[in-house]
Amino acid sequence: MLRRPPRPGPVVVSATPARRPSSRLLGIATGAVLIAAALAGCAPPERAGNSGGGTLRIAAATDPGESLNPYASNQSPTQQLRSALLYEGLTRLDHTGRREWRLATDMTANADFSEWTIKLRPGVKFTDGSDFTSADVVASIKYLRDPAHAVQGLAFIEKIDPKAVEAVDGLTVRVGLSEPFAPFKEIWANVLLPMTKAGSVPEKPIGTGPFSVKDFAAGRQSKLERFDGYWGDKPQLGGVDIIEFPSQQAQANALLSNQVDIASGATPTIAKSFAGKNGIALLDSKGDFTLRIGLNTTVAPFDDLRVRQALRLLIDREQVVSNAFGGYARVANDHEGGTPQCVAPDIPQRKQDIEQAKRLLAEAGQSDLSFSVTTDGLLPGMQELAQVFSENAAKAGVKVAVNVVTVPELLSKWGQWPVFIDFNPIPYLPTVIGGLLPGRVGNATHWDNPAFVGLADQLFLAPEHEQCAIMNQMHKIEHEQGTTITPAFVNVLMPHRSNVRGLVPDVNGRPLSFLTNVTVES
Amino acid sequence: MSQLTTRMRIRHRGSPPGPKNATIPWLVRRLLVGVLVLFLVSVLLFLVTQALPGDVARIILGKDATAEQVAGLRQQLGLDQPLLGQYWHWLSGVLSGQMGTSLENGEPVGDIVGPRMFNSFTLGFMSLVLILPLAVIVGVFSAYKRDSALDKAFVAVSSLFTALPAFVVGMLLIAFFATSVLGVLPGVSNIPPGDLPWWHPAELVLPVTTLTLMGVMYLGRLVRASFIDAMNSEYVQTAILKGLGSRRILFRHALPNAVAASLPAASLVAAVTITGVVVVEYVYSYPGLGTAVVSAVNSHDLPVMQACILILATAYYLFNLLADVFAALGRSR
Repeated sequence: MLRRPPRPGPVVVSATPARRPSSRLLGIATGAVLIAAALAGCAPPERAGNSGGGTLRIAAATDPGESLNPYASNQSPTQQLRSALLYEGLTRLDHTGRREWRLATDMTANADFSEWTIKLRPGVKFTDGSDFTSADVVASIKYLRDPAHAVQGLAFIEKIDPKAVEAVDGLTVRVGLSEPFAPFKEIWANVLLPMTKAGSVPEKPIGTGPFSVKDFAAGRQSKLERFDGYWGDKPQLGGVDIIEFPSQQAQANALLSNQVDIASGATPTIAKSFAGKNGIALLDSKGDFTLRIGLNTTVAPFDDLRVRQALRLLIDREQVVSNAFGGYARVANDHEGGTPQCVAPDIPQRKQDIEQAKRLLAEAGQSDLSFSVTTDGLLPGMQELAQVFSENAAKAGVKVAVNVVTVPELLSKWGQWPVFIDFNPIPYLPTVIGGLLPGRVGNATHWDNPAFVGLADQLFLAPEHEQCAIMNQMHKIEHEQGTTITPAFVNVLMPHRSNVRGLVPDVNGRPLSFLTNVTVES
Repeated sequence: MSQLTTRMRIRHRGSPPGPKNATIPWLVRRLLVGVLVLFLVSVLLFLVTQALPGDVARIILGKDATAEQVAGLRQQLGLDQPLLGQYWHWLSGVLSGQMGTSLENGEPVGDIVGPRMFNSFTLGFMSLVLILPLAVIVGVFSAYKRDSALDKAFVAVSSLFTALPAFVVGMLLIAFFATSVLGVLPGVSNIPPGDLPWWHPAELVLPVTTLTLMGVMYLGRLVRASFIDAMNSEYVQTAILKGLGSRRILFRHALPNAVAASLPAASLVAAVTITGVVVVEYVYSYPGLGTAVVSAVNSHDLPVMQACILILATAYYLFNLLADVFAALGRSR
């Protein structure tokens, strides 16, 4: 039998003796003071401030595999962001998308565009104080073209014959090509093709950019300081800290609690929720950045044009813009953009047409089509796009499952996924070279269209004033026979604290490459 | 009979078999078992990473690399060797003090993991320093005020916290103190490379609070139960009847016994706290072993992953062993 003992109650405590000063308390207090003193002794050393202009603190995505080598393979947006501040190319695209000369001042071709002469800018210094010369350009191009280096920008300069690259004089370089290539000037405006000091890559790359490296810890933080010997307009900022966070939510939290000044990655949902909150403003870069659904032509039935066109007719582009991208996008028409210098192609806008889609599927014998769309969800809106597409397709009886995989898994079967979500942040010419011609690694749909290839060949030989017309014809073929569903051009969103002034939106989605006039008010 | 045998087995597995001179061999045996456990963990981890989808060389080089470049890197990293060979290469390196280099960026694993281990253990240690006394204070006070509104509130709140995952608690604290309501604390706990964690006390507040809340709510309930048991025990009743002062009864008789009974649980809480930093670190972007593990798993960086998980597993095992020791001491009392 269990006996329930009497509960201890207030009676016991009512006999508490009166308090008296405790020597134990004194001991604890002394200990606390000693610990505080010890901690104070371990305080961080005083940090030297920047040379004026303030420091811009940028939140970026963690990249533990990053390095300072601007030619490294598989570069993340974080590494490219840093590279854009440390290194420069021969040309670059300004924030409106127009090409401008940087380390080069001119490029001229021979009659058949098979050899180019590059004139370099005089008076340019590397961040170590040495002069920038033609020898550095030759060394940089040869490094890029060396097959031993898995450089990411190789596809763009593969027509360069490395044996035919030579310095003519201190500020002139002659570049021979393996075959004629007219748009040579256009390819250099790429963060993957910077010029570095000869012999400095890969161990300690030295560039000519407006900032130099003060501290670097891979996957953690980069501290950059202004390079006062910079040849161009010097930035007003004294330094830039790129602080890496494992999630976009963490970036948002850091921004809201004033630990960073700008979040370089924000989902539309986060951006919307920030509007007018805690002194946060939104930098909204409208451009031709595309998220697209790729249809692999080596996998049936996506080799059938009728099926591809039917799937393009199923998607509700307005819904994609509003639901997947929170309104921070504009409707696209199943072709790439990236040609701001050209008048837009005259192609009727494709709209959702369920009945027509059903007819095309029936003609192709695919009325009960069922497949998975694979995404790694790397960028904001990817999973949402897959979900909207799945719901749209269901209206025609097409069953689309959303398959979310890890980034490594997506990469491991690159080119094998039947239907997948991809993205394209670069202008049209490099897109053609790297992702729309047959046999290119970026062409994971294995599209091989003779008419498109023929036009590309024409483009590579056409003088500058003919290039827009050819590119618009290429857009038309993409629209009519292409292998991607491209429903929207997506804005790049960067919430920032309102005391950051001078930021400019960029049509190519890299506004943090343009920090010349940026200041951080205290 | 069989029940007695089982009890004896448990006794000999979990506690020293009687006399003091048998304690050392028992402890040595447990430590050797620990080494075996860690070895099995490393084998399991190695096999699991082999089963993960994706080729490390392809992940490092990206989709633009050619098949030849990928094959070259696989050879360079030794990934073309048989599984057993790869594992032996890693194990022999560890046994000779070489943890290897990160597959992702080529840095020595020790340079990556060392500072992060220090950060994680600092976080765990600071939390434990708070958890243990607070759990005793809260538990004892709640037991003392048993069935009062305060006691009921504590039981309800602690049940809630025990049920909530750490990341939810973390996000709620961030929203309340950092980003949405008060805005008085940092929303992330980024400790710059090269800095010691306590140079940034404000950044430590929320992660330490999260771990402390989780620990106190769990351990406080156990202390409360132990204290109620102690106060209901015959020796305390005898002391009351003898007319001893309430302070003497509370602090000399009830509390030591209640705390002693809770010590094994406290060790387990310590183990959970050390390993629980994985989630909390991710929520607060705190640069410790937890965030290193997540990053290494994402990039299939086996040497970094092995080092981090073995450190966490070792800490977990040692605290479990400590719990067994305390339990054994408790039984011997």
